[in-house]
Amino acid sequence: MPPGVLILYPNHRTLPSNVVIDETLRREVPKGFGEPVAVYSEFLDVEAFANESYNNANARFVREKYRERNIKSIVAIGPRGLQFVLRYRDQMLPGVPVVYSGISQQALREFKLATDVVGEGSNTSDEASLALALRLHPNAKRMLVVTGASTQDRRWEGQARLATEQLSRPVVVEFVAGLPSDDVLQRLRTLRNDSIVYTPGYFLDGAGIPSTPTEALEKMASVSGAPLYSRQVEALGTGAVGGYMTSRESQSIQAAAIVVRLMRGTAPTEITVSPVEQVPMFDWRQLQRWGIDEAVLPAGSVVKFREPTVWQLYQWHIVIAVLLLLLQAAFITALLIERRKRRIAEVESHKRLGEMAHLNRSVALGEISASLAHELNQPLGAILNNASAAEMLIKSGAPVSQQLNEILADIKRDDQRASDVIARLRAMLRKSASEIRDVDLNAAVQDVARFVASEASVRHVALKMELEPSLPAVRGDRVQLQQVVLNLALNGMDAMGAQAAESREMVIRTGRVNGSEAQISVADSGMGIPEDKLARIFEPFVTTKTQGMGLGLSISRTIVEAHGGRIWAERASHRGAVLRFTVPLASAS
Amino acid sequence: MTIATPAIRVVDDDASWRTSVTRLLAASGYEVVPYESAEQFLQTDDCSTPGCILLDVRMPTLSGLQLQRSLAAQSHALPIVFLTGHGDIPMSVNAMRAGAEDFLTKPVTSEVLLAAVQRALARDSESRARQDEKQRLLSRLDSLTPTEHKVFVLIVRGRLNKQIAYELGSTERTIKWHRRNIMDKLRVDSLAEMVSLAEHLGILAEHNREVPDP
Repeated sequence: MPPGVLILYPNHRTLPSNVVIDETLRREVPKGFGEPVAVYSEFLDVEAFANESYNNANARFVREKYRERNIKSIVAIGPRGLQFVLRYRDQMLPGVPVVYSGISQQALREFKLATDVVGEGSNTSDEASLALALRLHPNAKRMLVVTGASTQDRRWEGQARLATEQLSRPVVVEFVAGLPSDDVLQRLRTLRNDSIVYTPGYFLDGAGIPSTPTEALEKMASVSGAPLYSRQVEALGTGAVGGYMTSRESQSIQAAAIVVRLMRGTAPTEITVSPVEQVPMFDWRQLQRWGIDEAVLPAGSVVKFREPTVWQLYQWHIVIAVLLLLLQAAFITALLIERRKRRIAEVESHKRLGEMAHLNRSVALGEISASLAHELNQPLGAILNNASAAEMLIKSGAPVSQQLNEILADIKRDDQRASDVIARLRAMLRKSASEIRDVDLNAAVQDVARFVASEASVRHVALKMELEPSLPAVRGDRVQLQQVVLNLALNGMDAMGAQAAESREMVIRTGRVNGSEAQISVADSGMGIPEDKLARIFEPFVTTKTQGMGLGLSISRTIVEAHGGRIWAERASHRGAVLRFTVPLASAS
Repeated sequence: MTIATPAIRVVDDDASWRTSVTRLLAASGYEVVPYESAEQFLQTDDCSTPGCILLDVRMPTLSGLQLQRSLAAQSHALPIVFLTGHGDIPMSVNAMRAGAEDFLTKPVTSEVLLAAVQRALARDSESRARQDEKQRLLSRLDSLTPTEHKVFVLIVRGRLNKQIAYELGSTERTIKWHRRNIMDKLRVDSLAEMVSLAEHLGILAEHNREVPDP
């Protein structure tokens, strides 16, 4: 059975000071002793329930409960606790030494203590607190000292009066002693900060209403217009600024040390204890309220109720929130960047596609134009030479049938060569196999318009579309039809090259001509086409441009006619040219 | 002087074209020598034979223009008529600047071709004739004795007989005698003709130099 320590409280468990005392003793005793110790607490509630038979019952209860518990010492808390223990110790646990705690030196004087009763008495003087108050409020002119009406209160009043006789500087001292609480509060309400209030609290007011120092302090602090100081540690948190106080914790640590020494076998008589001294303690919130700078506080001050700054309270919240915000901002920025990149890429891609479409056409044509010329001109030239030679031979009259046969054979061979070249050219121009199906003309035209749009914007051409809604489908090869539209559009834009930028306008229209045909027109505001050339422009190798072979319109005509439509050019009414072509509707075939 | 029959050299890598143009030229009465590449031409041809060259610009390996350049280095360069399947202005300008006779595009009508060939042959024979003439004059000049040569140079420089006599340390009479011999040998009848001959042979250009010792 480990040794035991029994703590006896005269009141109940939930008093804040008891919580502190209990916690501290339970921590310090085993720590100090080093070996397993059993710490027991009993809350006897004899302060509130003061009658003899109850006391006896308590004593018996303690005896029965702890008789076999190897109790090495009893800790008596407070004067009431000590009183009870002294009176009933022989009934409870005779011979067990007693350690007392939480009793003022003043209260101790009323006890006659046996040699095996040891403890610390705490300093409960008012002087230090009064001096502190005066120092922290140098402009204060008045000091109110509030005390109560009970016997204990009167004792405290006497102590306080003595203390006020030795103030560090002259102020008006007003005693508010033994008055009803209402009067006290009324008086305090009227105060301003040229006054200081000092009070230890009270147990009974002038009207006979009982209270505890803590309650009294709370009420007073809540209405006082002047700063309130006290020596009671319970004052902290009620609204008092502070004072020189003894903390329950330091008292309990002292008591624990005594207990440990007793348990180690030191005789009670050999234990000398120095009183627990007061320490300046403050409520941080009140310091803020009264504008007291921490720097002027005495060294070793304890400041309680420090309110954590928003940062301290919500540090992690703030960090996380900021991080989230930053992440979000980064995310949004990244998304915006991506969007811009995408836009640029889209524009690029459209441009590229447009360029490619154009380029494919002209590269295909340009590429072959040199070799095309060469490859066609060789056989054509040879044919012409052969024909001329044949002419001369025949004119000469000599028998030349053998040679003529050779000539004709060569001519035929070269003709074939030439037509092979043409076939290759056509194959190159017609890149993909023809796919005939129902084509949504408006959608196809809009696709082309998208390609053309970037080209149009680069050339400052205003591009307008007038598409007949719900145009029925046409029958044909979508890609080829788009090629025609693209061709007409690019040609039209080329024609406007010389115009002023503001006057370049192209309109692409689709519409239904009659029951069987749809018509697409591409109008430009360029120089227009001379009347006599309107038909000729569709012939191959007709071009007004310095480059290019003039095959675009010819190819377009081939495609349109292959679809069973017609293509023609008109002069526009105002200025420019309109190229139109028709395609049979799907429903018509 | 033997006049060799002019031969038209046809240089073209396209067999069909080569055959057909050879046929055409032959039917028109010309002598034709076909070559299928510029290299073959350089290796095989005897450039002293008069005539001209019909040359395709675009041939694999050595192109027509490159051939023109290497031929221009020779003294008896045959006139060149260029032919091409695809006409190109810069190309033709370069060729003409380098001295081509003509630049034709295929297909070419027989009239145009034959006219160009005619002109080329004419130019060739003309330049040959000039060349021969020059040769003749030079050989006549060579027949002069060293003294006669000195006298001749001074005469064409406009010196009077007595000046020449003084410079050469001779008498006017001797100089007159030399003069008569020179005119005989050179087959000229007047001072003007002598000067013309001298100019032709490029002697007057040397007027800054001393009278050359033969």
